[in-house]
Amino acid sequence: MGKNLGQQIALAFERLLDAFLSVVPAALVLLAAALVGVLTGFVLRALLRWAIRLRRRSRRDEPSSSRQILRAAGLKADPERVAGTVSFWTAVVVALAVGVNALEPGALRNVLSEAVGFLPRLLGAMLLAIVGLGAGALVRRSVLLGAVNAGLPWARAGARAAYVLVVTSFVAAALDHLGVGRSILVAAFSIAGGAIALTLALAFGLGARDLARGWLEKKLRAEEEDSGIRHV
Amino acid sequence: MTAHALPPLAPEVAEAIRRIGRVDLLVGIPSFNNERTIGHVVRAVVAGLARHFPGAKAVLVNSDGGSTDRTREIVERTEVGSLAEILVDAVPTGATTRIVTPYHGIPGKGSAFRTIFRIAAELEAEACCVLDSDLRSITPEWVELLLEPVVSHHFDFVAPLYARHRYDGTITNTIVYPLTRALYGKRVRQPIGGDFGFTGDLAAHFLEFGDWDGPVAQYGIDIFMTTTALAEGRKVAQSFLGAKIHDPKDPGSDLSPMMVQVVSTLFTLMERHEPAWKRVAGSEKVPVFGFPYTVGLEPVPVKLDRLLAQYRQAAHDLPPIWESFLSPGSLAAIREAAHAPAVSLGDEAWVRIIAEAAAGFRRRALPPATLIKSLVPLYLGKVATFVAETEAGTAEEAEARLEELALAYERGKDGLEALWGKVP
Repeated sequence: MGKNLGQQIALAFERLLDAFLSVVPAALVLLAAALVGVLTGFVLRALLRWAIRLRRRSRRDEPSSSRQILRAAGLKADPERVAGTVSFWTAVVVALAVGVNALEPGALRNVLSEAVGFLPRLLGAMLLAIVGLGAGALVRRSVLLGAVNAGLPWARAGARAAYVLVVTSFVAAALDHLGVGRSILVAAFSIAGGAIALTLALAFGLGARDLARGWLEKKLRAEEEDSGIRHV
Repeated sequence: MTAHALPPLAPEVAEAIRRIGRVDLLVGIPSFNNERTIGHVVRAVVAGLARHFPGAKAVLVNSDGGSTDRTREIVERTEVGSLAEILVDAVPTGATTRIVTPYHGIPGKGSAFRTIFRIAAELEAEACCVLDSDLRSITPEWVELLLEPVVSHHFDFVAPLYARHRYDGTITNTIVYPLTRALYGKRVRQPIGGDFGFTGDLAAHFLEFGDWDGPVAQYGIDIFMTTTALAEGRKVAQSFLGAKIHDPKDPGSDLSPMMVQVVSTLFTLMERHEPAWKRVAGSEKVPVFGFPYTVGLEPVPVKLDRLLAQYRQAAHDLPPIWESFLSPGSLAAIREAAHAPAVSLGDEAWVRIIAEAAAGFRRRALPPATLIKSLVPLYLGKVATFVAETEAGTAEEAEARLEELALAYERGKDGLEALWGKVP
């Protein structure tokens, strides 16, 4: 019985070793794919940086439009660096996807396929969130400037609310892109949107009718009447 | 300047140009829903041409932005009445030819002027002038004062010189005049006055400008014309026209967009004419035509508390935006002025703010419109300072105060050049 037990244990270890050994080619393939991805990423990044520098040198006197776009979104990052990072990680993800496809069909490939297949969606969601932050910063600044220049006392709070609204919308879109809590998101947004509209309608249109009328009348009057100054 | 497509002309205008051939003088009037005032302007122009240029072949061009009232009809049909009565001793000649045309391009004064320049170029006009269509104080002499320096004294560009209330034209007083003077070295007191005289050649040259889709097509046109003339070393004069009284409110003249159009054109032209303004130090007077006289001016009642409130709110709310282009020293000056019992934004601080804004505009620290909109409350703070300093004094003392500000701009030019040079 003891001998039989020893054989069974040896057999189990043998199967375990076989299983590990069968993974080695897959791991090597993935490693090679990752290496190719990293190398391609480096090359792509270098090429992009070179092209951007070349363009910058040829248009030395003109401010870079990509920098302007990033600045407009409130991001101080160097466009060269942003382009390099995006191209690098794109190359790595594509190489990994190709590597997984090259694996023998089986459970491992299925699992890895799902994991790698999720990466583009994850990148997409991250991109949405970043765009949301940029758009939020733009909206916050516009609302703040507009409200301050109109002399509205709630400028800062209004700008912050606008920022939160925009960023929340983009984060929700990112979560939807990832397939996280879709139905809850739709319901939550419908309820929140409806509630805000109803609150504003009641507060401004019914509760503060006189204030609304006064405010609109003031806005419709000439701005010069406000300060008396003739600017030009 | 890069060559650019010319604005299209309506077939009937092209036909009129072919029929007229060439002219000596052209008077352009841009308009948009000015039925209340344009008849008076047309009468003044026709009388002025008959009185002062009886032998000249002249044309009046109305470039209209799609008026929905009777503006165009009034230009076409306005009768001057008995010229013998208006002109007293002059012998009236034939009627002035009139061209009434819509303009093309983005709606704005600059687009209207562009069509006038095109017609002037096609008609090979020797001298031109442009006049606002909402003027109530124009007289026939304005036509002489704007055209005669070009026709008889060989000036290329004539800017207006008005008698204005000290609080009328505050963007001009606190930014445009002193900055233009410090940059290009000529004391043109009303660089964005709106009524100008210039040669036909200069009109054709204005057409070569490459960006008629930007602020130059709107309120940026006035500073574009003046700056182009100054930066290119043209012979520039001023003509004293008396008081400028116009319709109380131009619906397109809200402060923020107007300031964006004027100041962004000013800053953009600084980039274009960098070699020209870097050669200049100090400033000199510009010849003045006409007879300056004292005018009873409409009072401008200023609500100082509103200006102060807006400045103080901005000093509290906008530093995160200003940090993109203003130095810690300027931010501290803004904060200090806001906390003072009476806002007092000094000349040196103000000049530094404008210089840093110009350098920030050049390196695109913020989108151009955002950057200039963020200057609006600072400008109001400077205006409030000026009002507080001058409300008890005479008009001459107020003008002397503006001269001090202009000198501060001249002193600050080295600082501006240093900031400008730092842009990568």
